[in-house]
Amino acid sequence: MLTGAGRRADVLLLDLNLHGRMVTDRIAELAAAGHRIVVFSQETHETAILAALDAGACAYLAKHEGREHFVDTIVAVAEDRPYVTPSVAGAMWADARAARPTLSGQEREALLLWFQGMSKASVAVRMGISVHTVHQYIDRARLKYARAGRPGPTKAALLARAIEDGLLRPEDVGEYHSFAAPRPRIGRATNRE
Amino acid sequence: MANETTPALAARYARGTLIGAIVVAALWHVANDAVVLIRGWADLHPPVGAGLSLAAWVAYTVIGVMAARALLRGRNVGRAAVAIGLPVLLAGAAAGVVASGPGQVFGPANWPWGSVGWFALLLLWRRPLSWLVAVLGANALIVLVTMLLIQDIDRIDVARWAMIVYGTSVLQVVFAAGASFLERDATRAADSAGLQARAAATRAAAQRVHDDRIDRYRAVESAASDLLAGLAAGRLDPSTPTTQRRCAAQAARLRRLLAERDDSPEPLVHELRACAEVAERRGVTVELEVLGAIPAIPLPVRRALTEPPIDVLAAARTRARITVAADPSVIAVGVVADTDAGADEPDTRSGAGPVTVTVSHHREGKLLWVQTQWHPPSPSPLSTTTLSSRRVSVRG
Repeated sequence: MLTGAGRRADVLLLDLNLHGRMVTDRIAELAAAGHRIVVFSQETHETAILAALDAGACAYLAKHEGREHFVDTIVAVAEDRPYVTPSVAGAMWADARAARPTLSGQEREALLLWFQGMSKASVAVRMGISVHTVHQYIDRARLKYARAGRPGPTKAALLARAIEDGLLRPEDVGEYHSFAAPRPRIGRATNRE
Repeated sequence: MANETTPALAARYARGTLIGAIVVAALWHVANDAVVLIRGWADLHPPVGAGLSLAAWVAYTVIGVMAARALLRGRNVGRAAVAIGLPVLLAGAAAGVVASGPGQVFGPANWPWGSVGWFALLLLWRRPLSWLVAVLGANALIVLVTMLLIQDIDRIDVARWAMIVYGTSVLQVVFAAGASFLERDATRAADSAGLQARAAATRAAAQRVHDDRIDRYRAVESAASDLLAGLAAGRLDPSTPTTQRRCAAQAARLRRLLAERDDSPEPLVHELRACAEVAERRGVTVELEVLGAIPAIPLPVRRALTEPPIDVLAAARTRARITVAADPSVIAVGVVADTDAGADEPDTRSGAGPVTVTVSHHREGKLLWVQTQWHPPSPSPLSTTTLSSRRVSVRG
């Protein structure tokens, strides 16, 4: 998979359905090798989205979101910044698993409105807060997911960048603090297949 | 037991009568027969007489217990048991005469004569009364014939015999007649109650169908007739966007009305999809996304939830996104569409109590966002529906 030019890519775009086979199980492997992965899929079921995030995918783009969010997602992920597409917002809002991260009421409200298709500016007006705060609510929810579950280099990079950007305080990250210091260099991953 | 139904009451009476008969037979057999057997042991013709009497007592006990067991379990005594039990009872009657010996036939030692009736009553429970009368007649005859065989009899003996026959038969016959009357009454009451319940159910179902029909008719009438009348009279101009929007909304309402009748696991989504199809036919690209487990939602609430989205869809120019998001505490239907109509209005509430639906609007340039929300009265268990999220995009 990574013998060609893709080896040096900053971001890998992965279609979950490769030649009729779901490749969700390959995400963890690629993420562990330090690749930033954006899943681009027809699949919008929340369990598929949450599974991809848990495995270490940086972002999830539903195919119908491509037109509006494609470039922004890729740019954000290349900079190790969170980018929450409406489908991911919906999946986090609807997460009913026992081990899900606890989201605040404001975070849930922002996620729901963003999922419904409002612009962030409209979400801000609707909630009576600034656009910046809307971004914070949505990104913090995403970072809570990055902190939960298995640690990995892409999750650590996301958290490290969040600390640099002032979205998180180092003490919020807890046991993953040690991962947060150096940003993993892309392209150092060993070749596979 | 003020609200006990007639069949249940009749059944209780019938069972009470049965228990009465079993208690009488048991008490009689223990307090009279057993006592007489023990006290008269020496006077009975030993060893044959005492042995016969004891054997009859044991046999009667077995018959009584067997019959009582079957009857208390709600069954009749089996045919085979009746066919064996009755001859045994009658043989006991003959044995009683022989055991008590000449001159003692009318004495207490001849206890089987009086007991045959009570045990026959149990064996023949829920069977024709004539069978019991026949058995009691056979009992009397067997006693008479056996007596004739073991001693000479005179007129006085015959008179005493007749008197005892009367004494040992009338009570049982009256008891059996009363019991069969109660039993029949219970059956009849149950039958008529069943008929009434069926009739009531049929009536209720017919009424429901009728009400639904009236309801649909009213909905169609209010939805379409004003508009059609306006178009027909020339009061409404089909070329204006307002009229076109109204037509689109009414078409969606009619489509929703039809969708409400369909049997669908998720009626809300099904009805929204129906409304979306109407918009798609106009060339609007519609996305429909469903998130979470949707609980059962009453029809009036579903209508209140879908009504504002219908207006937005009718006004949509090129695209619309419908979302249904459900968690145990809230159902939110959201629509975002590019439209010129519809203003940024404050939140409103429609309905009252458990059917209160909150409607929110927000406009941003060409985009209009409308959301309807309903809070289910009590958190419904998540297990009723599986978590699901689907996306439906028929065009685009």
